[in-house]
Amino acid sequence: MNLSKLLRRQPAQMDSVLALPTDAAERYYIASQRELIWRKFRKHKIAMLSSVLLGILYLSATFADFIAPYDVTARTSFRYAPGQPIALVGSNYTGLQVYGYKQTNDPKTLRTIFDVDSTKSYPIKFFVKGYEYRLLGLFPTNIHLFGVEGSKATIFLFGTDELGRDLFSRIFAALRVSLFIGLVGVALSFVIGVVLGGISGYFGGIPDIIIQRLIDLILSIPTIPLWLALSASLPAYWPSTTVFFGITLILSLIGWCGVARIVRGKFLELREEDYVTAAIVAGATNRRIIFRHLVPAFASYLIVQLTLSIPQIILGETSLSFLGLGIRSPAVSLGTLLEDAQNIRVVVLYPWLLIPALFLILIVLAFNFLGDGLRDSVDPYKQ
Amino acid sequence: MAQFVLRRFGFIAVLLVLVSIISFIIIQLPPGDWLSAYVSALRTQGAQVNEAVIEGLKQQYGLDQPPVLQYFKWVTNIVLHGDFGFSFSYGRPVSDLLAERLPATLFISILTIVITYAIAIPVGIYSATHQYSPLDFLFTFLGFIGLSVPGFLLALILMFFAYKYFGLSVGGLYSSKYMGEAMSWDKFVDMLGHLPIPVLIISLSGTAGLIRVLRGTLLDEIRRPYVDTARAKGLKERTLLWRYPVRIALNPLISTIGWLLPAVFSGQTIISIVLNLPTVGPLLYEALRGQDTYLAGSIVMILAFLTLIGTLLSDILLAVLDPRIRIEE
Amino acid sequence: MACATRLIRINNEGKMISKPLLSIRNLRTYFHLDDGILKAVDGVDLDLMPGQTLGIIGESGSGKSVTARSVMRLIAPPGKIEPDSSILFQADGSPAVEITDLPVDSDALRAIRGKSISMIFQEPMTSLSPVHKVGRQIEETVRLHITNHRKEAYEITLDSLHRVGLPTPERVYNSYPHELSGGLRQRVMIAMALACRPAILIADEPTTALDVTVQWQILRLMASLRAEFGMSVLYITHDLGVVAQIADAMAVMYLGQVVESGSVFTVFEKPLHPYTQSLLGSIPHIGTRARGHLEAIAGNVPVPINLPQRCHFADRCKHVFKDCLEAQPALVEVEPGHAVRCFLHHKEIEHDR
Repeated sequence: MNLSKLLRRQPAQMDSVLALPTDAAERYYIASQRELIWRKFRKHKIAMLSSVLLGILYLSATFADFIAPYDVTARTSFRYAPGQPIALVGSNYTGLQVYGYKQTNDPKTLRTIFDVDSTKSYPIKFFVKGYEYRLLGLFPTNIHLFGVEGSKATIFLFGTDELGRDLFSRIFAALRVSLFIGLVGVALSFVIGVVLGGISGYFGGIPDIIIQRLIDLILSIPTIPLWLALSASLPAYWPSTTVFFGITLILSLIGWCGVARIVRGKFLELREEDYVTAAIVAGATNRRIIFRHLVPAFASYLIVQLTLSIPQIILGETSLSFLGLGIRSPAVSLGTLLEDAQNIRVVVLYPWLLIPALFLILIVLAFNFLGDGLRDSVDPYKQ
Repeated sequence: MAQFVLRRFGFIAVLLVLVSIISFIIIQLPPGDWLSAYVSALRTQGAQVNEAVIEGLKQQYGLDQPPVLQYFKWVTNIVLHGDFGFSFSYGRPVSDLLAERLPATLFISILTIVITYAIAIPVGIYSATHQYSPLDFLFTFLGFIGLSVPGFLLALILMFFAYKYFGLSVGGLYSSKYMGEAMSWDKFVDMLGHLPIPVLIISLSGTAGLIRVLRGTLLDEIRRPYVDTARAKGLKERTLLWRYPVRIALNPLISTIGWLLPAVFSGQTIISIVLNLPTVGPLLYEALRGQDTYLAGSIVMILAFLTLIGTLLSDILLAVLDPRIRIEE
Repeated sequence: MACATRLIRINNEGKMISKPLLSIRNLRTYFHLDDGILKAVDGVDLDLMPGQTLGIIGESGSGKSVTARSVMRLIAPPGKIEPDSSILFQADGSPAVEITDLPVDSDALRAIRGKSISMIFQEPMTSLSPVHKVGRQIEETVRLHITNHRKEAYEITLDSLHRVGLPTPERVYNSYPHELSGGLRQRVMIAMALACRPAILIADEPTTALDVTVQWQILRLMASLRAEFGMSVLYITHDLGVVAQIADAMAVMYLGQVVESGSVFTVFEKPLHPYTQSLLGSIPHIGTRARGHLEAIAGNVPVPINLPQRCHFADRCKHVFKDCLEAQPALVEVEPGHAVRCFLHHKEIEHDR
């Protein structure tokens, strides 16, 4: 425990120790807000780790096509093939390589069964040519981070699905949808929430009553059934990108309520503060009061709330897609990948179908830790 | 107090009306009306369609009238006759289907809430009073997992392990031999045996959240001056812990019990679909996939109604428990 | 230090009384922090005589509240009363109790809390439980220490509410704290503290959070109740005016140590420590023409972590000289009943000899 923590923890007890600035305490008091936040946040090892992890995931989602050796929709004859292990030392040569497959036929079902064959292997090459795509949606190229060369060679690091599609490539494509739906959804919630919450809190009166009742109404309807009902009513003929935005809109329909409540509450609370009164007396305009005095006072708090609501939106999308009412083909999300894992008998035979779940849990966990670390850091003066 | 309850009642009544409007919008959202869809479905099946019956249904639900009138007709039918409309995919009145599924839905929900509190309260109190102890760390860690793993995924993972290692199929609420049988004592006992896993899964995220809230609030309360006052009186530590900070930290928790309902219904819907439980969840899912609009809308409305009533009850409970609320309102 | 033990044994009539009710010796309460050890109270000696009101005065950070809380054993980790500290409580006709030896949450400690020694806190709002009726909160103390009989406890509670000047005790009994004004709440706190007729009442800045007019009402009430019950009072405050009004003796604290002590009359008439002199100089006097500025003490109170071994006031002192920077002065009795922790006056004594 250090001094600042003690002062926060035991204000009653510490009244007599609540000494004025000098030394350690002085550095603490005169540090800028941002510096204090950063200083505290750095101490949160798990939160730091989470932010690094999320950074990597967002980066790789942005360059998903570059990282993925196969096209999302590309089917192969390797159906339900397990992941090919990476090795440094193979039976033929030394170097980065993946093992190949040996095929057998199930005598009863006559299905082809793929097993890893460590006597066969293909060297992993970097910056190889593969399918055509546009880097960042702009620059047409066919260079991929890694891959194998030769018509028979395959590289299915996480295995394949029912249609012989590469799960590794599909996961990175899915990350793009799942991760960005979280950001877009939160951005939408933020805009709607700040505007409506601001109106509600700053002006009060009839607009306030209407907005508050609307929030009460939305929050009284159980989320999943409402989401399901709304996304089921998205027309079947909509293309998959339009559906993406439709789903995002549906997900943020509930997210904004929380933001609006926070903004309203803070406005009401801060309106009474002396410095706001001082600004009003000094003749500041409404706009100046809102943006110079009110918003900065709770911006950090809001950022924490938003960070914590990103995983909610990601989970919402995943749930909808998992049930087949969310993202539609050819777009994939972690939820649509998990939809393949709905049948438990299939999962038991091909357990790699659950790998997307690992990514999902990792992402949500990382966002929760990050939000938690931020929450502890943004309010250095009190808990 | 009476005035407070009355005001809450009025407030809830307004929300009920609004919820019914939203539900009706959900019914109306899909393109085309459900009756034509129903008729064409029947025709493709090669069934005989009695024009008179169609005409009767049209009259009954006012399908040839503008939406506003249709809404009033729908609401009037519900209020006066308990008639929620007609499910064309089941070929039965929605009210019949609801009557079959609602008891199990409510039973599981209430059980979930009970389990949530039964786990969260002792764990939360322990964590707060033993801050930074090994068990506190363990609970905090499990709590994070609980908040981060969605219920449906947990259900999936559990099903996977149960099937792979024990050859069990988790899912459903009744053993196959009771399928289609009327509720009996034996069937009820059989159901109790199936309940723990789904109920634990549904309660997981709620429990994790509640533990966090309780731990945080209690840690705050323990440091409040009134605790020192109580200590200075000469109260035993244990007595004063339960009488003051715990009581005060539990107040909002217990009285917001109703606020858990939306989350419980949400979690239950999706987990019921995965685990195939006989609640309204799978019914809603089927209805939405098959554009069975009256059924879907009615289920959403019923769930929202139950939530509102739960909220009302817990508001009253809060006012009883915490004298400050009555003044603030 | 030895001299200090005979310090404050003079009551307001100037008679010597042999036995203090509460005797604090070398009390050290430290907070063990990552940044170092914060010596909130560092070697305090005090004596509280029967029937006496002892005012402890100091700025924020002087350790006066921690001293008071140490007596009640209300120090939470990382705070700790260090070994060799002594708080001896000796009630009339009973054996002396060493409070620092009592285990936390022991029966013996609980028997003293609320019964022999009770405490009033600074914030009457947050010091009462918001969800219990105030009457119940008082009654709880009564039932712990006097009688477990419901009816009797109720009567005693009403009586104590009546004694603190509440005209309608029954109504206050059934009120919740938020329904009462600050002054009323503090009266309730006093009623609670006095319900069991304690030998010692510790008041930790009980009027700081109140309006000025209410402050004086509460002070008058406390003075009259003291006269009525004959208890001793340990009154913690930063307000010199309050000390002058109600205390018999006073101790001035600075950075966890008593720097000057004596009867109120002596200290006010003849302050010896430069810190006390500055404190008295910072009070505006009505009637005297305001010439120039009110005197303010230069500098700030340092945080008592890793302080050097020298006079703690040296940095802010106008009279600082070589000795002050080399060693810590001891609290020395410079005249009967008047002690000061300052080399200036130690020198004088030596010169006299």
